[in-house]
Amino acid sequence: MADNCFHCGQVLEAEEILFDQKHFCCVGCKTVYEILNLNGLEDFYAMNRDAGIRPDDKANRHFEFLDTPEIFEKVIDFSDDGTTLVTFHIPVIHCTSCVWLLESLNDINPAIIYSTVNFSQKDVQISFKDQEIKLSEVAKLLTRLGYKPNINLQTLNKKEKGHDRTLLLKIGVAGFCLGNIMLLAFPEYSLPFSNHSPEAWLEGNKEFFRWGMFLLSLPVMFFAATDYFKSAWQGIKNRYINIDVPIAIGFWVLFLRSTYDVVFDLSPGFFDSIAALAFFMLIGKWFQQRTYKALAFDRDYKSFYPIAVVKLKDGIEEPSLLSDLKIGDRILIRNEEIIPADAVLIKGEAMIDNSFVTGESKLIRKNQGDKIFAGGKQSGSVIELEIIKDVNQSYLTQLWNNEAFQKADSGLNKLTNSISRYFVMIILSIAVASAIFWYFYDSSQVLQVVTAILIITCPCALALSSPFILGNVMRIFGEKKFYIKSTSVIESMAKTGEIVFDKTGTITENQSAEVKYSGEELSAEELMEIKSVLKNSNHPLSRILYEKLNSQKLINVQDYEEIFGKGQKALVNGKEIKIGSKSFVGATEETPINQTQVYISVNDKIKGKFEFQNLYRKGLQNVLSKLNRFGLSILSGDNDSEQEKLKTIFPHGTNYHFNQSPEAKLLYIQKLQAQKKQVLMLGDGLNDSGALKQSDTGVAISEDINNFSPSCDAILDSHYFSFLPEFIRFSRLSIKLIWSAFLISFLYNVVGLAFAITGNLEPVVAAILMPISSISVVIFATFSTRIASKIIFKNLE
Amino acid sequence: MGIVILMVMASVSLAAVFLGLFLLGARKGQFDEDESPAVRMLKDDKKVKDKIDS
Repeated sequence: MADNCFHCGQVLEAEEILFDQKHFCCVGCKTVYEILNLNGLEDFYAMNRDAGIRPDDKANRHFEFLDTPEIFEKVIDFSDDGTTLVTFHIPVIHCTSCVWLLESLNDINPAIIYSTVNFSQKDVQISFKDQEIKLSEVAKLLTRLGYKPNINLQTLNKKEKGHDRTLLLKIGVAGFCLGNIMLLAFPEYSLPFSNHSPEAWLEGNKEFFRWGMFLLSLPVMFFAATDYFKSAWQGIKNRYINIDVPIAIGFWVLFLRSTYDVVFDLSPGFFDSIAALAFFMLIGKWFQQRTYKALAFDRDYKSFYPIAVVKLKDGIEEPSLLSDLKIGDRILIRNEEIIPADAVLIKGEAMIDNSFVTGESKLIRKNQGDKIFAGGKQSGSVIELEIIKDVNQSYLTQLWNNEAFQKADSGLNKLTNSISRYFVMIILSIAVASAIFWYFYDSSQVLQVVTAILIITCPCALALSSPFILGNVMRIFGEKKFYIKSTSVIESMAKTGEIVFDKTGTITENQSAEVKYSGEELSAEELMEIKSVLKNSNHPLSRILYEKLNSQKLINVQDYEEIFGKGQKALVNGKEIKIGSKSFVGATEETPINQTQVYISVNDKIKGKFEFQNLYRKGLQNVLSKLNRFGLSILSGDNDSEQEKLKTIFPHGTNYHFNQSPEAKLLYIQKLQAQKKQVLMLGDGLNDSGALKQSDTGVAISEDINNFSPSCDAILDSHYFSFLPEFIRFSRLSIKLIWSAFLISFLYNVVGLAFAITGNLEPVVAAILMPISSISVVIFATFSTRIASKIIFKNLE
Repeated sequence: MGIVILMVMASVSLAAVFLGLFLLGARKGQFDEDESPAVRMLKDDKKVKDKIDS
């Protein structure tokens, strides 16, 4: 019977810890439960089920660098007179219980004065007494509770970002003016609907109402709507017409015409339309901003490098900022730490895990004097390295600085802006034509008609349709764990013609693998013994094997020893069990070089071996069959031993390229683009980041989206990989929806033009038409994207 | 119909007061984050809790 951990909700597989009549999956979870109980915080569990986060049991030494003075200064916000303020970024914050617990830190350790969570940014600001608790201890406390702070180069640089509240203020002002102007406009509007002749009191007092409206429109024109004017001016200065140009024209024509009308007693003016326009457009902008804040990401290598390494100066170890590293510096890299810059091995046994770079978790042994590239992870004892290239100059970051990265950052709404150029032309020509017509027909009406045309054709609905639809699509993608960088990604995805797959880690699963055992059959007792030995190792292969072996019970082992790169051995039940490489157990058979094997020997007698085969992602074939209208290619840094297997999965006509270096991958993408093909690339490691950036849409597949990710256009959670064809379909559908929304707003414009050209545009008509067009386009955008997503993703969940 | 004018001026001034309060609150950062205040309300004050428990 599968129980669930009381704290984090994970299914209890191997380990089961009983405490206080509740089950826990690991010591970490049990510890958090204890802490919460001890401090009267049991309500944590009352708020949300399974809200706990399983603490990461390693890495508790990793915060000492926070206490060195220069790093301390960089990390904290403020420190004075015994009180220090620091903001930590904690990506795992995900629910109300997290907020609740993180704000109760004071109950757990009174040296913490207060802690405030910013849920949307996933930050927590902690104020503590630095004489009673060290910064590193604060970080350690957070980690023990399961909320490990993410401290890296990027979070460090993100400090100077004040809150931008002006949009909110402008919305407030615009809303206030709108409501009150409408109030004042009402008397004169009721006139056409009543059958009486103008009432005397109205005639006498209309000055009050009209000038009141005028005054209220001033804050709108000179505060709320100014962003549009600035943007339009920028566009004109740079000689291109963006969507804000006709909008700005609309505002000013409205304002000037209204003032003129009120001064010369011609009409009540269009002030309410001005305010309505400003209010709705600002709300649209605010909505866009919120969507981006919640989903945006822009991570580059900085988000994956630590901020400090241990430098060796005259034999003394001292933590040092990454930015202070120079060529020739000696650094110490410990187990599980990442090598931050290209370096040469000076001392120690280096077993480098390049899974970040190549996707393979196989350990590569390096000898003294060998060059080790940035991005690798040391797996073993401490090594001493000498830096040969600056962090910025290292091979990988050079790849990033390749001109692929100067990809023209097309602003959002490419579509909208290109439309606006034609729009302005057409409107101007209509205006000129009408002006000429009316000049000959009844010249007194010319001004009225021309301004009416410019007013009613204000493309507010047009401007709202693209952001709302794309923003909604972005949100829907986010719900399905597909995070895109900006809405222009949707537009480029829709145009895709070629799809390029990276092999390792993209179409293969990173975590699990298929394990085949060959050799003498192992008894249940032997399986239990082997599993008990494996439990002590952190090596990826050990972990995979540990999960695969079927054994309920585990027993204690003695004399456990793990020799990195070779294997592990221990005494279990009086027998010596060795698990490891061929040479480690003393086997001599011939084996193919392209496979990973783990041998088992009991009391020096070889029992057999486990062969690890790459497992391809579930549903890969299904996904590929849906993608056969695209040209497909596979690029792999591996050798071609898998080619036959791949040919059975991928459709006929796929291009296969093996032994591809990172530059080769980038060049391949460029070659495709030279053939005028729009490329979507799927990758995962740093080594294909150059290619990812070069492609029109670069998607990084990630097992844990809170982990590093290279600079790319989108991140896809690996569990949702099978949705890829649907994501592409949805992007194409959204472009069609945008065109439909444009059509709807054009229809309003046409209707409005009918009124304007014939000289019948009264303020009340404008006041009705313009808000209705905006609202209906927004409603259409929201509902159509929801319905479309239901249809497209219907069969998948 | 001077009363209408009076009433209009009264309501506009009242609305202006609300606007002012909104702008003040926004400037002070009260609208920066709208999700955690909802949870913050649920925490018991320590003193109150101790009283209830004992």
